[in-house]
Amino acid sequence: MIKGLYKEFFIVIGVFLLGWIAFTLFKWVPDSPELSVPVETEQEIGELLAGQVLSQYKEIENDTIAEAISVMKTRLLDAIGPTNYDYKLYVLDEPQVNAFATLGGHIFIFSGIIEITESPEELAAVLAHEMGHVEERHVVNKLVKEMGLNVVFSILTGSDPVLVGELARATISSSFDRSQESSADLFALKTLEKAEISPRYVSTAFRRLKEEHGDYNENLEFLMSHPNINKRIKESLEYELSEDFESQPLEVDWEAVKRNL
Amino acid sequence: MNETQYHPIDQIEDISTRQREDAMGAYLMMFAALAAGLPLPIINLIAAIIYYIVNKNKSRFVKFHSLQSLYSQLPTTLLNAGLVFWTFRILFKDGSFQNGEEFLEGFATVSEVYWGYVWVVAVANLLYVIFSIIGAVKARKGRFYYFLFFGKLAYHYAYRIKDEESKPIENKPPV
Repeated sequence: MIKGLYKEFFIVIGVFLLGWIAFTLFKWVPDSPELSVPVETEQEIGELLAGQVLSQYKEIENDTIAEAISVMKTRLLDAIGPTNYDYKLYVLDEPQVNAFATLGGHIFIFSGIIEITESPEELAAVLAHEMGHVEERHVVNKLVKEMGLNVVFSILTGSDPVLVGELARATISSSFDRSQESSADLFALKTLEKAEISPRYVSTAFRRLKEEHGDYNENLEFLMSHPNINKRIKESLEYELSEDFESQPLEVDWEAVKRNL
Repeated sequence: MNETQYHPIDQIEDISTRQREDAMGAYLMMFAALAAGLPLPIINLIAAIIYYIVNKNKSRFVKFHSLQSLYSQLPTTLLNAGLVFWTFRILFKDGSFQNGEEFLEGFATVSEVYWGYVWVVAVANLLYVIFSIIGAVKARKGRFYYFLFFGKLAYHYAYRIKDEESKPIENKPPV
């Protein structure tokens, strides 16, 4: 064969493969704005936002409820393992069926959602989903996308009350995108399995919300940001449990919790 | 291994206008075939093969350019076919066409490897088109132009002296 033919053949193949690898690894979209906000900063902003939310809603402070929530929190956090966040869970007196996470691991549960659930495990499923948003830094991502990095940082320096209010509103009202919801769902399923709570409760919780509100309800942004709830029910039912999975019930008197709302 | 013998290379003045146009056509017909071959990238390959078969006996110069066009078209077509196949796999994920939302989601969750492939195929096509144009222009001028790898391969098959051609010369002109 002609001289240098094989060399050129390998050059062509090599350029192709290198190009493929390079294009695969190259980030076309700078897709991680959340990485530019350190966790410490997130927690500081989270404190401010939590204060803002608590000034808008009435927090239910009751020992029975607090203990029930703490039992769930402990179980879930044990399952999650080491985490950067200091989770704080609040129950707010508000009939809306909703729960949401703000920055820095502050999670707010509206009493409406406790009322429609029939077991603590269902609420634990919702909490695990919200913790997924926190752990995967979706909240920061969403805020930075919506408000811009500068605004998110400037809140720290000036503590402008209007700005804090706007930011708090943005965390509550805007929704996560579809892939974030799926990954939070998956996080919830895995966390529940590790916490010895049946991941099937995720679908129970979804179905409960669907029955309560039909296919779409704007108050249910945390679950309904895309009205494709049937698919999410299906996916959580299809989640494969390991063979030796055994569920341990949460030691919570749910009826007592509901009575104390 | 004995060295392959090659025919002497044609010089500009040896190549007729007709030959130059045929050689240029080898590159240019793929533009026509490309449009026809968009949904099924195999069509332009078929066109290139037909063009090669029709033209291969005209002259070595024409054969070289037809071969170079054909050879460089082979991997491009395979890459394009792979892209079409892969894309259809995504579209018809569960065996049926997806509804609008799942359709978009299918693409949103496609791996980075797929997008890397899309880009590298796009670049490959662009390079192929650019070099084909250069090849066509050179061929029209009666010049050779060697693509990386494909140029050498095409030269080898167009200009090598086959065994049956190098039989010992028995009959000789009068001394």
